[in-house]
Amino acid sequence: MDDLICEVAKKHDADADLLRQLIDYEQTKVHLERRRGAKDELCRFLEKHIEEKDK
Amino acid sequence: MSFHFRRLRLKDWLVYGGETEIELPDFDKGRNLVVVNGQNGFGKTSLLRGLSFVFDGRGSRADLIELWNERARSSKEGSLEVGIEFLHAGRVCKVIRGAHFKPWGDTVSVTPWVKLLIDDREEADQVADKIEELLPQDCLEFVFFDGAEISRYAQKQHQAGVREAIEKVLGVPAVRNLRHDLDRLINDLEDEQEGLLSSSQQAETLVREIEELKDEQEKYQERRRELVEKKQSLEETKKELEAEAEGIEAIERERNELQEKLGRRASLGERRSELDSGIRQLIAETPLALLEQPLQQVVEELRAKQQPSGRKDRLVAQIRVLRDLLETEAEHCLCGRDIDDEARNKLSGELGRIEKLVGESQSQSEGAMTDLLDLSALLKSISARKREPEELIDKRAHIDTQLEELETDIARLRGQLEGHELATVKELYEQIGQITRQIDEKKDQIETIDRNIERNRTVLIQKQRELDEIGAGNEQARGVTRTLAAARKMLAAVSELVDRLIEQKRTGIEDRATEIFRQITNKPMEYEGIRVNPDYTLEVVRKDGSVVENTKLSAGEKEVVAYSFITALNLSSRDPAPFVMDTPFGHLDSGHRAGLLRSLPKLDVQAILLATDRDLPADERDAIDGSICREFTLRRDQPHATTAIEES
Repeated sequence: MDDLICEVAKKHDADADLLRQLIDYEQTKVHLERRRGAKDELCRFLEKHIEEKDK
Repeated sequence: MSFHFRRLRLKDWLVYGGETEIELPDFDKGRNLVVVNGQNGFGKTSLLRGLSFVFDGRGSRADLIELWNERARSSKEGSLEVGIEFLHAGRVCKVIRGAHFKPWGDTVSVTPWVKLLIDDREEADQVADKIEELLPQDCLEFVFFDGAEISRYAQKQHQAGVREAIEKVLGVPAVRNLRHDLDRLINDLEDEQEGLLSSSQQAETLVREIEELKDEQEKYQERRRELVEKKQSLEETKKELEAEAEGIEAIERERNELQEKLGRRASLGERRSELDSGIRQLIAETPLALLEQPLQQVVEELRAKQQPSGRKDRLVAQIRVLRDLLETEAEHCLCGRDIDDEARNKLSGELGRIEKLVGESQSQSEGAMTDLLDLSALLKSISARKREPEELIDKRAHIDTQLEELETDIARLRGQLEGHELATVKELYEQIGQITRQIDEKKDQIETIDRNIERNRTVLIQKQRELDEIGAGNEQARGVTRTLAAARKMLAAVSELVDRLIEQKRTGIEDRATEIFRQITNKPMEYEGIRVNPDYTLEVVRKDGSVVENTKLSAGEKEVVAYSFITALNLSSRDPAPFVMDTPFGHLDSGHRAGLLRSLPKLDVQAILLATDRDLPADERDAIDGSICREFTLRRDQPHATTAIEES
């Protein structure tokens, strides 16, 4: 799985660590019928990642 | 260390009255088997239901009362409880679930409760969600199962919801949800970006063009989905027709076999009629047998009369001498007297009379000889006929058996041939040809649409970049635009990840299932392994690459396929859970059972086997002795109607 994440992230110029974080986040919500706030949470992950990249 | 159970506690749970607790050793590869021996009705299934109850917990008030031990229930007040301690992802987890019961008028009030402790700290909120995260309800059927569950799974591969449950076990839904959530986020961000750039004429035009491209893209995708569905349906029809065409040859063979059997039946029928009339004739001639003895006597007497034939011959010779003497005109008799004409005439007359008498005697003797021969033949025939009826009846019975077998075969063949009379290989291959052409057309159409989608996508990305450039120049929209760009890259990566992950998992399960299947099957020289199709239906593949039709597999073989798949599925999940198997050998013969038992120590998980002495006979249990880390026996206290678990 890890190798696969790295491979697709590289191919699409995305950050593998960020992708892993997002999957882990979704994993904690997978058993819930409604994933309230998931969209906003993902947005925060992305913004935080951009911020850290800018530093 | 892998996910494994360490302790199980039951209180007034089904057949387990009072408190019962067992401890299990830590997981040790190769010594991973826990055996619980128990006779029917002693509580094996209650144990399995206890484990499911801890992780599932669904059930009505009435269900809970039903689960409460019968003796405890009679007091109308008390509680039931099932607790399990296990190691999961390096943490010690305890899930304890139960219910309090109190009298409430004529009935009983029920208060269910559940506790979750992780590393000895009780979780205060979202307990149900956290338990679900440890072992999802949808996955329970793949880790706690009985023989009936395997049989059911062997039948229900195509049912809706199975695919979802399987992908949940594999961890696919998390990635799929991420794709869905990212898509929604991108839509929101695009709307936000559009709002922020609304003052720019150029941006407005780009937004409109992007929207149009997206609509067009959506239509292409929709059309593509339709074409793919049609193509799949045509491919399925083609597969069915090909199978039917293959079957036609078999049908032709069956038809010839039927003709041959009908011919044989007719000839046997004729032979039987002949035997029938023979038997009837013999029965009519039965009285002849009574003549056998008297006839025997007559024949013997005639034979005796035939004995003196030498005397007659001598008489004839003497007559011939006398005649010669008379004809030579001898003048003196042998006694010395003269022989005159008168004497010569007298002698000649006497010789004539004697010759006549001898002649008559010879004729009588020849008649007697004919009679003797006739009677001997009749006697022989009667003696022979004494044995004939038995032989004929035996032959007729043999023919009856053959006819009976033929009738069964003919009925079977007629049944198999029913409805196949009109089909011909030629017609079928014409249909297959037509369908193949339609499939090729659909493929071409899909390829054209794919090219359009790709072209549109390139244009869309270009337009979005142009818009992003405008956004980057806009102070307010810059942040949104950057987040949007990152989200789009992430979405592209996640979309590919979902497809690749499913394919990777599917082939992974296929390999594992094949490995397990080959350890168990009793036809390792014939079967190559299991094929897991994209919809998770299963097929057995022969060494030559051909597929065994599901209907050709026996119930036991289907169970082995289902067990191999379930096991492979669990082992391919993120956190393989312990297996708990309640009498899983329903239709398995001893060969399959031995294979399954041999495969258990090779699993990378704790395996708890709940077995009767029939499931695990002493010799088979001894064969896996080295892999058993702990063994228990269910003891039934019959007078008190309760069961206890004792370590063996």
